Amino acid sequence: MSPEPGRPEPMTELEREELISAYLDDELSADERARVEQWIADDSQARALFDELRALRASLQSLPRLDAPSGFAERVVQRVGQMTPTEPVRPAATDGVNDPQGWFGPAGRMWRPLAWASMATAVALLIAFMSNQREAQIARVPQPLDDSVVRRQAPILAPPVEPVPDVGAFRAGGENASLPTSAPALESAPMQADSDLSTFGFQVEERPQELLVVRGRAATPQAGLAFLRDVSADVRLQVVGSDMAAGERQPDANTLLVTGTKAQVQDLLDRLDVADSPVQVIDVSNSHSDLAFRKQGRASELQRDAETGRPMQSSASPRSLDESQSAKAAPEQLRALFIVESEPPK
Amino acid sequence: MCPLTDPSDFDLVEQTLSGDAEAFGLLVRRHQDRLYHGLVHLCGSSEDALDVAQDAFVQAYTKLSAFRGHSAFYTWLYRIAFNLSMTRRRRARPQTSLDARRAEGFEAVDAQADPTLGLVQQDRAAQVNAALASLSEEHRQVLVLREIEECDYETIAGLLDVPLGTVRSRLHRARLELKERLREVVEEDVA
Repeated sequence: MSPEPGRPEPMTELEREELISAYLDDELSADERARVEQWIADDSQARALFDELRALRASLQSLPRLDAPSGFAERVVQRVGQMTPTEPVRPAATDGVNDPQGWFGPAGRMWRPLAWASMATAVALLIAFMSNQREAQIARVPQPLDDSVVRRQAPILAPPVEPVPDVGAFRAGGENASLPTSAPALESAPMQADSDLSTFGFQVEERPQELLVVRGRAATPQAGLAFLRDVSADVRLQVVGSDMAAGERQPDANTLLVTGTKAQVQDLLDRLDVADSPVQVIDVSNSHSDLAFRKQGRASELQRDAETGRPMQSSASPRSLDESQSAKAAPEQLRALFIVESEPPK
Repeated sequence: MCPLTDPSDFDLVEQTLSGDAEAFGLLVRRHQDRLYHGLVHLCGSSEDALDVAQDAFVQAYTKLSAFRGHSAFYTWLYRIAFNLSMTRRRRARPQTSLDARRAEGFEAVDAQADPTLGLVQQDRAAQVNAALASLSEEHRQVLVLREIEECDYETIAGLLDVPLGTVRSRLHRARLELKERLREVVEEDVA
């Protein structure tokens, strides 16, 4: 039976109690608040429940404060101190030229000599990488390969929008030089959709396509991929590197498709996030635009191939993108492309 | 130092990003106790809380440029810590019983160590801690977020990745469960 116009819907006892609980938290609309206040005034049971919940809150909030042990801050500072200069104080690529406080701002001074040397290496690696990956178009991931800059880097939450700057521009630019921009930042993108990934700074809520591009570095790509296979018992793996065009695995194949649940893929990432891991993650992004054709045209094939162990077949050209379809296909699954590069010569 | 001249969190973030390591140390000292306190109740053990708190600060450091000051630094930091603690819990074996949870180190927080509390207060705190620790993880989480971290429903919904309505109902069920386990304490207070 529908309620009379203008009269509130009848409630179950539990719904009434929930409202009283939310009243305690000041999380009600004005109408709801007025209703609860009326109940508390008129109904002894409602008033008793409110008093009990309030007492319960007081008992929790009066728990003795537990302070961090002495020396805590010093240990943290010591840990982060050990991260420099190979670990970035400021993830550079998220700010670029428009952020005077960014990589090329005051913080950049301490990194500039190292950054210049490593950027040169980065560009060389990128060029080689692109030539290897022409067919797959993977190499357009726009982050610099500079390990000192991007290792365990901050979130890359948006598709790339700018090309990698050339070395000359970097060299001449100084504090005004520019790196590609990727935004929005972690903080401005609420971490609601996937708390696992948000620990890495991802915003999945606006990116349901569930494809990550993870770039790692190992002594050799083969060693890196072998390690990934060893530690990844729960996910499906398939080499899809530069062997794609030839239809057979090549020695320099360096890309691995990982398919698993979000937790599984994140677990894999976590295992790499230790200092002695043979594979060091240097960049994670969801540059879906670069990899669109894989998602639409190749992913299902790749997954089947991963299950059957059949070698990959080549694809003549990228196919069209239908992200929404891709996202609906396996909402609980996450696919990640692990691109493992060689460590730069020391 | 005069409170009026204390640098804001945002100032300290900027100074850290400019290469001032001491500024980050100040940030840590400013927030370490609050973070640790909440994490002890969330994680259920001081050891886990310590690990998570340290990792959270380190991860915050590596991501510091992503902090834009649109929310409080502590809120941003707590999100990192919360997600780290959830990852840590997920890796632990599935919890089937309170005994199993205790077997893997999930014990009620020990408030006896605080010498400033009287015996009655110590006993009461112990009861509350034990009751909180005995709740299901789902209920404990939501209560810690609301009552200890004082998060609003929207923040809780974001952290737990559930709708607002679920926060409201889950929180109430958690309170009822805790109230049942602390019946004597609550009745004494109300009386």
